Amino acid sequence: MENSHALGRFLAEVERRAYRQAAFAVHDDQAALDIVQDAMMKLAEKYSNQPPAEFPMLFQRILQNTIRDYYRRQKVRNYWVKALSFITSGRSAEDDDEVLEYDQAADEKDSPLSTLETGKNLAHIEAALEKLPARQREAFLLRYWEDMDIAETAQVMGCSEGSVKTHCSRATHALAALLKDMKE
Amino acid sequence: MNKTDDVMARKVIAELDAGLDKVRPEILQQLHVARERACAHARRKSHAHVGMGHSMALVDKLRQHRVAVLGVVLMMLLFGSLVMWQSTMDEEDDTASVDTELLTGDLPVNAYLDGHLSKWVSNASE
Repeated sequence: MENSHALGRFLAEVERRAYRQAAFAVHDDQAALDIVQDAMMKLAEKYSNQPPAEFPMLFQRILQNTIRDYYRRQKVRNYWVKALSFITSGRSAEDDDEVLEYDQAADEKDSPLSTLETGKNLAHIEAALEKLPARQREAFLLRYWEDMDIAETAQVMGCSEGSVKTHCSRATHALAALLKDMKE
Repeated sequence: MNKTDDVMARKVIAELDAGLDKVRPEILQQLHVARERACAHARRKSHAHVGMGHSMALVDKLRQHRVAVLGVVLMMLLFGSLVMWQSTMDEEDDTASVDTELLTGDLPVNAYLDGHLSKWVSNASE
C-alpha cells in the first residue's frame, strides 16, 4: 500500500519529463503518451514492490526500452507499407520516401510541439533536441535532465561508461552548433 | 566533458525544466489518468499478494534458496535409495540363512518339498 503511494509520488514527479523525452524521440504526441502510459503500467506491474529508491532507474530503463520497441514497430510497419504500396501502385520506393517525408513534415507542422507557446529559446532547444541522433539525445537527457551519473546512464542505455561520455559530449557540441545556426 | 560544455548543458536543461510548466492541460490530464491507472494496478497487485499470504512467501523463499532446496531433495533421494538398498541386502541375508538352516538340519530337503512334512509333523505330535 505504502509502495503504491510512493509509486504515485514518483510518477507525478517524472511524468512530464518522461512525456517530453518520448515526444523528442518519436515526434508524435499521441505515441509519446502511449509510450509513457505503457512504461507506467510496466513499472506498476513488475516493480511496484521494489524499494522506491530504485524507481528512477527502473522507470528510465522501461521508458527507453518502450521507445526502442516503438522504433522497431515503426520500422517493420514502414517496410510493409513501402512493400505493399509498391505492389499496389507500382511506384518506386523513392516516390514513397517522398510521400513519407511529406507526411512527416505535415505531422510536425500540425503537432502541438510546433504550436507550443513557449519562449523562443525553448522552441529552438526542442527543435535541436529532436534533430539529435537517438542515442546522443538519450544520453544527454538521462545524464542532465534525469540527473543520473555516468554509471547509471550506462546501465539504463545498456552500453559502456565511455560510450555515455562520448554520446554526451557529441550531443552537447551538436546542440551548441544547432542552436547557433538557429539563432543566426 | 569540459566546463563550458557542462554549463551549456545545464542551461539547456534549465530551459527544458521551464518548458515543463507549459505542457498542454489535456496532455497533463491524460498523464494523470495513466498515473492513477498504474497506481490502482499496483494497489490491486499488492492486495493480491497479501491475499495469497504465506504460500507466496514460501514460494519466494524456495525460489531464493533453490540451490539449497535442490541439495536437500538430492540428499533425501540418496538417503532413500540407501535405505532401499540396505533392506534388499537384509532380505538376501534372510534367504541365505533359511537356506543354510535347511541344508544343515536333520530333515532332508525333500521332506519340505514332497508334501510329506505336514503328515510327519502331525504324526509326531500325535
